[in-house]
Amino acid sequence: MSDSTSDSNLSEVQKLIRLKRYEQPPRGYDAYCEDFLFEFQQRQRVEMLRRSSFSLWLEKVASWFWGFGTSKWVWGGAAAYASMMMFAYLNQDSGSDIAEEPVGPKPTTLAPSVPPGESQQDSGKGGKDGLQPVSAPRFKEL
Amino acid sequence: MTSNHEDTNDILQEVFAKAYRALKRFQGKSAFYTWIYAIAVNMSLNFLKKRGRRRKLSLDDVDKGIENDKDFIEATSKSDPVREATINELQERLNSAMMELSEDHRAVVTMFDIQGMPHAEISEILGVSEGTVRSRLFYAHRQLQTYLGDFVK
Repeated sequence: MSDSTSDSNLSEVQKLIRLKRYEQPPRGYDAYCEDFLFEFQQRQRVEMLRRSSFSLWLEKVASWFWGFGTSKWVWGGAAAYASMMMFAYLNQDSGSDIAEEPVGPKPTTLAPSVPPGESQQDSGKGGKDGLQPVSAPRFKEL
Repeated sequence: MTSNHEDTNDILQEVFAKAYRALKRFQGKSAFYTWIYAIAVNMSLNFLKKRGRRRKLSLDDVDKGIENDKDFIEATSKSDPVREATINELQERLNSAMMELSEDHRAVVTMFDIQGMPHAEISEILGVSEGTVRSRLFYAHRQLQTYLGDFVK
């Protein structure tokens, strides 16, 4: 018995709450909608003027990107990969520039031309200082 | 949901601005109405959570059509308190009772009882299961029954 009373009360509550459908803006819907639209356009204009051109460009890029649908992730991944590769390539180039040897005459050093196999004592046969020109012909005595 | 003109107007402006910005991302997976309603409900709930209990009620006008509504006629003929109350008093009472509900409960009551949406659509908008919608409705109605007890005796 109490359950049925409670259920009936619940349905009465629902009916009362449904009466809120009759609520409307103070000056009626038409006037409200006109005011609302005017205010909306004003706010949009102000917002557009306030934003930087970079953020507008970014938004355009984002909406263009979203237009790709599900394939956007593939394109996004490819773009990320390409930019990483580009970065790595540029980095590599600039790295080799730094490591490159300076341009200019190389310092020359004179070194005794001692062919392998000849001992230190043979070197005394050469010139005064023991140096021999590299291009000098060498004959073997038989 | 807000029971305040200025708040409602501000939220509605924000909702349309957000929908306008996100329009290109709308892919037609749900009805446009559901999509924009979901934006509106989420933004309203966020706003209400930020606003907290600080509120100032402002009443809307009531369309004269209410006097011809069969539920209104039935309520005024059956219940003395309703019969004795003016339409504005009744409206004030209903709004106060609604504001006693939590934001989530108020949202389902607004969509189900006032807007007349089916459970499935409400669950899609709120991103919860139909069971959760039914459960929230049940508890909300119980609470409303307590707050409006003298009106429905």
